[in-house]
Amino acid sequence: MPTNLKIISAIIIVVVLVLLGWWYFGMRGVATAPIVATSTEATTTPIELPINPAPDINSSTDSSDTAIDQDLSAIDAQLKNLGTDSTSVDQSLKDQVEAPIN
Amino acid sequence: MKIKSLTIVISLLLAFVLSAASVSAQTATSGPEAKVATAAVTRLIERGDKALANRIDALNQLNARIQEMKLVTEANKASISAQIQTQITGLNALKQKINADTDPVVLKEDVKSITGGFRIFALVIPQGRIIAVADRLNTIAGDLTAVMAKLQTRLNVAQAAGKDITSITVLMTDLNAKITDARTQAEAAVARSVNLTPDNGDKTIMASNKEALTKSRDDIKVGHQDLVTARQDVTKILKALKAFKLPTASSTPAN
Repeated sequence: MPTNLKIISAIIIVVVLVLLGWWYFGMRGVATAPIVATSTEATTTPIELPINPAPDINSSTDSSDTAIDQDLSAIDAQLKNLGTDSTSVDQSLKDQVEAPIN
Repeated sequence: MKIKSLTIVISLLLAFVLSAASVSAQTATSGPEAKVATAAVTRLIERGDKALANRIDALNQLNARIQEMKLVTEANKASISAQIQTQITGLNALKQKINADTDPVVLKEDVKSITGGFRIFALVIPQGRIIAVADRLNTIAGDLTAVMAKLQTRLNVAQAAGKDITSITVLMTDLNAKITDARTQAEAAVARSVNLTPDNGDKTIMASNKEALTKSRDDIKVGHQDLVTARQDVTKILKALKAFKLPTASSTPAN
Protein backbone atom coordinates (compact mmCIF):
# COMPACT_ATOMS: atom_id res chain seq x y z
CA MET A 1 0.00 0.00 0.00
CA PRO A 2 1.55 3.33 -1.04
CA THR A 3 2.44 5.70 1.78
CA ASN A 4 0.26 8.53 0.41
CA LEU A 5 -2.75 6.28 0.37
CA LYS A 6 -2.10 5.33 3.98
CA ILE A 7 -1.94 8.97 4.99
CA ILE A 8 -5.14 9.80 3.16
CA SER A 9 -6.88 6.83 4.73
CA ALA A 10 -5.68 7.89 8.15
CA ILE A 11 -6.97 11.44 7.62
CA ILE A 12 -10.36 10.16 6.53
CA ILE A 13 -10.58 7.91 9.56
CA VAL A 14 -9.59 10.78 11.83
CA VAL A 15 -12.26 13.04 10.32
CA VAL A 16 -14.91 10.35 10.68
CA LEU A 17 -13.95 9.74 14.29
CA VAL A 18 -14.00 13.46 15.05
CA LEU A 19 -17.45 13.77 13.54
CA LEU A 20 -18.70 10.74 15.43
CA GLY A 21 -17.25 12.07 18.66
CA TRP A 22 -18.76 15.48 18.05
CA TRP A 23 -22.20 13.99 17.36
CA TYR A 24 -22.13 11.64 20.34
CA PHE A 25 -20.95 14.12 22.93
CA GLY A 26 -23.03 16.88 21.37
CA MET A 27 -26.19 14.89 22.03
CA ARG A 28 -25.12 14.37 25.60
CA GLY A 29 -24.33 18.05 26.00
CA VAL A 30 -27.85 19.20 25.07
CA ALA A 31 -29.20 17.15 27.92
CA THR A 32 -27.16 18.99 30.49
CA ALA A 33 -29.01 22.29 30.76
CA PRO A 34 -31.08 22.14 33.94
CA ILE A 35 -34.01 24.18 32.64
CA VAL A 36 -37.06 24.31 34.82
CA ALA A 37 -40.04 25.78 33.01
CA THR A 38 -42.48 26.65 35.75
CA SER A 39 -45.76 28.42 35.14
CA THR A 40 -45.14 31.95 36.30
CA GLU A 41 -46.74 33.79 33.42
CA ALA A 42 -50.16 32.81 34.70
CA THR A 43 -49.74 35.34 37.51
CA THR A 44 -50.34 38.21 35.11
CA THR A 45 -53.81 39.32 34.22
CA PRO A 46 -55.06 39.84 30.68
CA ILE A 47 -55.35 43.50 29.83
CA GLU A 48 -58.94 44.69 29.55
CA LEU A 49 -58.98 48.32 28.61
CA PRO A 50 -62.26 50.06 27.85
CA ILE A 51 -61.58 51.41 24.38
CA ASN A 52 -65.03 52.62 23.43
CA PRO A 53 -65.82 55.54 25.70
CA ALA A 54 -69.31 56.96 25.65
CA PRO A 55 -69.77 60.00 23.43
CA ASP A 56 -69.42 63.44 24.93
CA ILE A 57 -72.53 65.26 25.96
CA ASN A 58 -74.35 67.45 23.47
CA SER A 59 -72.71 70.83 23.75
CA SER A 60 -75.76 73.03 23.46
CA THR A 61 -77.23 75.62 25.76
CA ASP A 62 -80.51 73.77 25.99
CA SER A 63 -81.22 73.75 29.72
CA SER A 64 -84.52 71.89 29.55
CA ASP A 65 -85.13 68.85 31.72
CA THR A 66 -84.92 66.59 28.68
CA ALA A 67 -81.58 68.01 27.51
CA ILE A 68 -80.02 67.82 30.96
CA ASP A 69 -81.29 64.28 31.47
CA GLN A 70 -79.65 63.28 28.19
CA ASP A 71 -76.42 64.92 29.29
CA LEU A 72 -76.55 63.07 32.57
CA SER A 73 -77.07 59.75 30.81
CA ALA A 74 -73.89 60.36 28.83
CA ILE A 75 -72.03 61.36 31.99
CA ASP A 76 -73.26 58.26 33.80
CA ALA A 77 -71.89 56.11 30.97
CA GLN A 78 -68.55 57.91 31.27
CA LEU A 79 -68.56 57.39 35.03
CA LYS A 80 -69.14 53.69 34.48
CA ASN A 81 -66.12 53.58 32.14
CA LEU A 82 -64.21 55.57 34.74
CA GLY A 83 -64.92 52.80 37.24
CA THR A 84 -63.51 50.27 34.78
CA ASP A 85 -60.49 52.48 34.18
CA SER A 86 -59.86 52.83 37.91
CA THR A 87 -60.11 49.08 38.38
CA SER A 88 -57.60 48.63 35.55
CA VAL A 89 -55.18 50.95 37.32
CA ASP A 90 -55.56 49.00 40.55
CA GLN A 91 -55.04 45.71 38.72
CA SER A 92 -52.00 46.99 36.86
CA LEU A 93 -50.40 47.94 40.16
CA LYS A 94 -51.11 44.46 41.50
CA ASP A 95 -49.46 43.01 38.39
CA GLN A 96 -46.37 45.12 39.02
CA VAL A 97 -44.38 42.28 40.57
CA GLU A 98 -43.28 40.38 37.48
CA ALA A 99 -42.39 36.81 38.34
CA PRO A 100 -39.25 35.65 36.53
CA ILE A 101 -39.78 33.17 33.71
CA ASN A 102 -37.55 30.18 34.43
CA MET B 1 6.87 1.55 9.26
CA LYS B 2 6.10 0.77 12.87
CA ILE B 3 6.64 4.36 13.79
CA LYS B 4 4.25 5.48 11.09
CA SER B 5 1.61 3.03 12.25
CA LEU B 6 2.07 4.11 15.84
CA THR B 7 1.79 7.74 14.80
CA ILE B 8 -1.46 7.07 13.01
CA VAL B 9 -2.94 5.21 15.98
CA ILE B 10 -1.92 7.96 18.37
CA SER B 11 -3.41 10.57 16.02
CA LEU B 12 -6.69 8.71 15.94
CA LEU B 13 -6.88 8.43 19.72
CA LEU B 14 -5.89 12.06 20.17
CA ALA B 15 -8.52 13.23 17.69
CA PHE B 16 -11.22 11.27 19.46
CA VAL B 17 -10.21 12.53 22.86
CA LEU B 18 -10.01 16.13 21.66
CA SER B 19 -13.42 16.03 20.05
CA ALA B 20 -14.89 14.48 23.16
CA ALA B 21 -13.24 17.03 25.42
CA SER B 22 -14.32 20.02 23.35
CA VAL B 23 -17.94 19.07 23.41
CA SER B 24 -18.06 17.65 26.91
CA ALA B 25 -17.33 21.17 28.15
CA GLN B 26 -21.04 21.66 27.82
CA THR B 27 -21.47 18.95 30.50
CA ALA B 28 -23.17 15.70 29.82
CA THR B 29 -25.76 13.19 30.87
CA SER B 30 -27.20 10.07 29.35
CA GLY B 31 -28.90 9.64 25.96
CA PRO B 32 -32.58 9.46 26.99
CA GLU B 33 -32.15 12.58 29.11
CA ALA B 34 -30.97 14.43 26.03
CA LYS B 35 -34.43 14.16 24.54
CA VAL B 36 -35.97 15.42 27.78
CA ALA B 37 -33.62 18.39 27.87
CA THR B 38 -34.28 19.19 24.24
CA ALA B 39 -37.97 19.19 25.02
CA ALA B 40 -37.30 21.48 27.97
CA VAL B 41 -35.47 23.92 25.72
CA THR B 42 -38.38 23.87 23.31
CA ARG B 43 -40.82 24.49 26.14
CA LEU B 44 -38.73 27.37 27.43
CA ILE B 45 -38.69 28.96 24.00
CA GLU B 46 -42.46 28.52 23.77
CA ARG B 47 -42.90 30.00 27.24
CA GLY B 48 -40.73 32.93 26.29
CA ASP B 49 -42.68 33.45 23.07
CA LYS B 50 -45.95 33.38 25.02
CA ALA B 51 -44.69 35.84 27.60
CA LEU B 52 -43.50 38.15 24.85
CA ALA B 53 -46.79 37.85 22.97
CA ASN B 54 -48.74 38.71 26.13
CA ARG B 55 -46.68 41.82 26.64
CA ILE B 56 -46.84 42.91 23.03
CA ASP B 57 -50.63 42.42 23.02
CA ALA B 58 -50.96 44.41 26.22
CA LEU B 59 -48.83 47.20 24.80
CA ASN B 60 -50.81 47.32 21.57
CA GLN B 61 -54.06 47.55 23.50
CA LEU B 62 -52.64 50.24 25.71
CA ASN B 63 -51.42 52.16 22.69
CA ALA B 64 -54.91 52.01 21.18
CA ARG B 65 -56.37 53.32 24.43
CA ILE B 66 -53.79 56.10 24.57
CA GLN B 67 -54.67 57.19 21.04
CA GLU B 68 -58.33 57.52 22.05
CA MET B 69 -57.63 59.90 24.89
CA LYS B 70 -59.29 63.23 24.38
CA LEU B 71 -57.83 65.79 26.68
CA VAL B 72 -54.28 64.80 27.60
CA THR B 73 -51.84 66.97 25.67
CA GLU B 74 -50.54 65.71 22.36
CA ALA B 75 -47.01 65.91 23.74
CA ASN B 76 -47.86 63.55 26.59
CA LYS B 77 -49.67 61.19 24.23
CA ALA B 78 -46.72 61.16 21.87
CA SER B 79 -44.30 60.53 24.73
CA ILE B 80 -46.22 57.52 26.00
CA SER B 81 -46.86 56.16 22.51
CA ALA B 82 -43.17 56.41 21.60
CA GLN B 83 -42.24 54.60 24.79
CA ILE B 84 -44.71 51.85 23.99
CA GLN B 85 -43.36 51.48 20.46
CA THR B 86 -39.81 51.30 21.77
CA GLN B 87 -40.81 48.52 24.12
CA ILE B 88 -42.58 46.60 21.33
CA THR B 89 -39.51 46.90 19.10
CA GLY B 90 -37.27 45.64 21.90
CA LEU B 91 -39.55 42.73 22.66
CA ASN B 92 -39.68 41.71 18.99
CA ALA B 93 -35.90 41.80 18.81
CA LEU B 94 -35.69 39.65 21.93
CA LYS B 95 -38.19 37.21 20.42
CA GLN B 96 -35.97 36.77 17.36
CA LYS B 97 -32.93 36.21 19.56
CA ILE B 98 -34.69 33.67 21.77
CA ASN B 99 -35.91 31.71 18.78
CA ALA B 100 -32.39 31.65 17.35
CA ASP B 101 -30.68 30.72 20.65
CA THR B 102 -28.82 27.40 20.59
CA ASP B 103 -26.98 27.67 23.91
CA PRO B 104 -29.35 26.68 26.75
CA VAL B 105 -27.60 28.96 29.21
CA VAL B 106 -27.94 31.99 26.93
CA LEU B 107 -31.54 31.04 26.18
CA LYS B 108 -32.35 30.95 29.88
CA GLU B 109 -30.84 34.39 30.41
CA ASP B 110 -32.68 35.81 27.40
CA VAL B 111 -36.01 34.48 28.63
CA LYS B 112 -35.26 35.86 32.07
CA SER B 113 -34.69 39.30 30.57
CA ILE B 114 -38.32 39.42 29.37
CA THR B 115 -39.29 40.49 32.86
CA GLY B 116 -36.02 41.90 34.16
CA GLY B 117 -35.12 44.05 31.19
CA PHE B 118 -38.39 45.57 30.07
CA ARG B 119 -40.74 46.19 33.00
CA ILE B 120 -43.83 46.04 30.83
CA PHE B 121 -46.22 45.09 33.60
CA ALA B 122 -44.18 46.83 36.29
CA LEU B 123 -44.09 50.29 34.72
CA VAL B 124 -45.32 50.80 31.19
CA ILE B 125 -48.84 49.38 31.57
CA PRO B 126 -49.64 51.07 34.92
CA GLN B 127 -48.17 54.32 33.62
CA GLY B 128 -50.31 54.23 30.50
CA ARG B 129 -53.46 53.30 32.37
CA ILE B 130 -53.03 56.13 34.84
CA ILE B 131 -52.69 58.61 32.02
CA ALA B 132 -55.75 57.15 30.28
CA VAL B 133 -57.90 57.33 33.41
CA ALA B 134 -56.73 60.89 34.04
CA ASP B 135 -57.96 61.77 30.59
CA ARG B 136 -61.32 60.23 31.46
CA LEU B 137 -61.48 62.29 34.66
CA ASN B 138 -60.88 65.46 32.68
CA THR B 139 -63.46 64.50 30.06
CA ILE B 140 -66.17 63.93 32.68
CA ALA B 141 -65.18 67.12 34.48
CA GLY B 142 -65.70 68.97 31.22
CA ASP B 143 -69.10 67.39 30.71
CA LEU B 144 -70.16 68.26 34.25
CA THR B 145 -69.01 71.82 33.70
CA ALA B 146 -71.30 72.06 30.68
CA VAL B 147 -74.20 70.73 32.73
CA MET B 148 -73.36 73.12 35.54
CA ALA B 149 -73.69 76.04 33.12
CA LYS B 150 -77.16 74.84 32.16
CA LEU B 151 -78.12 74.49 35.80
CA GLN B 152 -76.86 78.01 36.42
CA THR B 153 -79.17 79.25 33.67
CA ARG B 154 -82.09 77.55 35.38
CA LEU B 155 -80.96 78.91 38.72
CA ASN B 156 -80.87 82.48 37.37
CA VAL B 157 -84.43 82.08 36.14
CA ALA B 158 -85.51 80.79 39.54
CA GLN B 159 -83.80 83.65 41.31
CA ALA B 160 -85.45 86.17 38.99
CA ALA B 161 -88.77 84.55 39.79
CA GLY B 162 -88.15 85.19 43.48
CA LYS B 163 -87.50 81.62 44.49
CA ASP B 164 -85.34 80.73 47.49
CA ILE B 165 -82.14 79.38 45.94
CA THR B 166 -79.97 79.33 49.05
CA SER B 167 -79.63 75.56 49.34
CA ILE B 168 -79.14 75.18 45.62
CA THR B 169 -76.37 77.78 45.64
CA VAL B 170 -74.52 75.79 48.31
CA LEU B 171 -74.81 72.70 46.14
CA MET B 172 -73.61 74.64 43.09
CA THR B 173 -70.56 75.82 45.02
CA ASP B 174 -69.77 72.26 46.04
CA LEU B 175 -70.33 71.04 42.49
CA ASN B 176 -67.86 73.58 41.16
CA ALA B 177 -65.30 72.71 43.83
CA LYS B 178 -65.53 68.99 43.13
CA ILE B 179 -65.12 69.47 39.39
CA THR B 180 -62.12 71.71 39.94
CA ASP B 181 -60.49 69.26 42.34
CA ALA B 182 -61.08 66.34 39.97
CA ARG B 183 -59.14 68.23 37.30
CA THR B 184 -56.37 68.99 39.80
CA GLN B 185 -56.11 65.32 40.80
CA ALA B 186 -55.99 64.21 37.17
CA GLU B 187 -53.19 66.62 36.38
CA ALA B 188 -51.26 65.55 39.48
CA ALA B 189 -51.61 61.88 38.55
CA VAL B 190 -50.25 62.50 35.07
CA ALA B 191 -47.43 64.73 36.30
CA ARG B 192 -46.25 62.06 38.74
CA SER B 193 -46.19 59.20 36.27
CA VAL B 194 -45.61 60.50 32.75
CA ASN B 195 -41.83 60.85 32.98
CA LEU B 196 -40.98 57.66 34.87
CA THR B 197 -38.35 55.46 33.24
CA PRO B 198 -37.60 51.71 33.52
CA ASP B 199 -35.43 50.83 36.51
CA ASN B 200 -33.16 48.41 34.63
CA GLY B 201 -32.62 46.58 37.88
CA ASP B 202 -31.89 49.68 39.97
CA LYS B 203 -33.71 49.09 43.27
CA THR B 204 -33.86 52.78 44.11
CA ILE B 205 -35.51 53.71 40.82
CA MET B 206 -37.81 50.71 41.13
CA ALA B 207 -38.96 51.88 44.56
CA SER B 208 -39.44 55.49 43.45
CA ASN B 209 -41.39 54.37 40.39
CA LYS B 210 -43.64 52.23 42.53
CA GLU B 211 -44.20 55.07 44.97
CA ALA B 212 -45.02 57.52 42.17
CA LEU B 213 -47.46 55.12 40.54
CA THR B 214 -49.14 54.39 43.85
CA LYS B 215 -49.54 58.10 44.57
CA SER B 216 -50.94 58.61 41.09
CA ARG B 217 -53.45 55.86 41.76
CA ASP B 218 -54.43 57.66 44.99
CA ASP B 219 -54.89 60.91 43.04
CA ILE B 220 -57.13 59.06 40.61
CA LYS B 221 -59.24 57.67 43.44
CA VAL B 222 -59.76 61.12 44.94
CA GLY B 223 -60.64 62.55 41.53
CA HIS B 224 -63.04 59.68 40.91
CA GLN B 225 -64.81 60.30 44.22
CA ASP B 226 -64.96 64.04 43.43
CA LEU B 227 -66.85 63.30 40.23
CA VAL B 228 -69.22 60.86 41.91
CA THR B 229 -70.05 63.52 44.50
CA ALA B 230 -70.41 66.14 41.77
CA ARG B 231 -72.85 63.88 39.95
CA GLN B 232 -74.88 63.53 43.16
CA ASP B 233 -74.89 67.31 43.54
CA VAL B 234 -76.32 67.66 40.03
CA THR B 235 -79.13 65.25 40.90
CA LYS B 236 -80.02 67.25 44.01
CA ILE B 237 -79.83 70.59 42.19
CA LEU B 238 -81.96 69.39 39.32
CA LYS B 239 -84.55 67.96 41.69
CA ALA B 240 -84.78 71.28 43.52
CA LEU B 241 -85.05 73.24 40.27
CA LYS B 242 -87.76 70.96 38.90
CA ALA B 243 -89.72 71.52 42.10
CA PHE B 244 -90.01 75.22 41.21
CA LYS B 245 -92.05 74.23 38.13
CA LEU B 246 -90.69 77.14 36.09
CA PRO B 247 -90.47 77.22 32.26
CA THR B 248 -87.07 76.05 30.94
CA ALA B 249 -84.89 77.59 28.22
CA SER B 250 -85.28 76.49 24.61
CA SER B 251 -82.55 74.67 22.71
CA THR B 252 -79.74 76.81 21.33
CA PRO B 253 -76.99 74.75 19.72
CA ALA B 254 -73.57 76.08 20.61
CA ASN B 255 -71.79 74.52 17.63
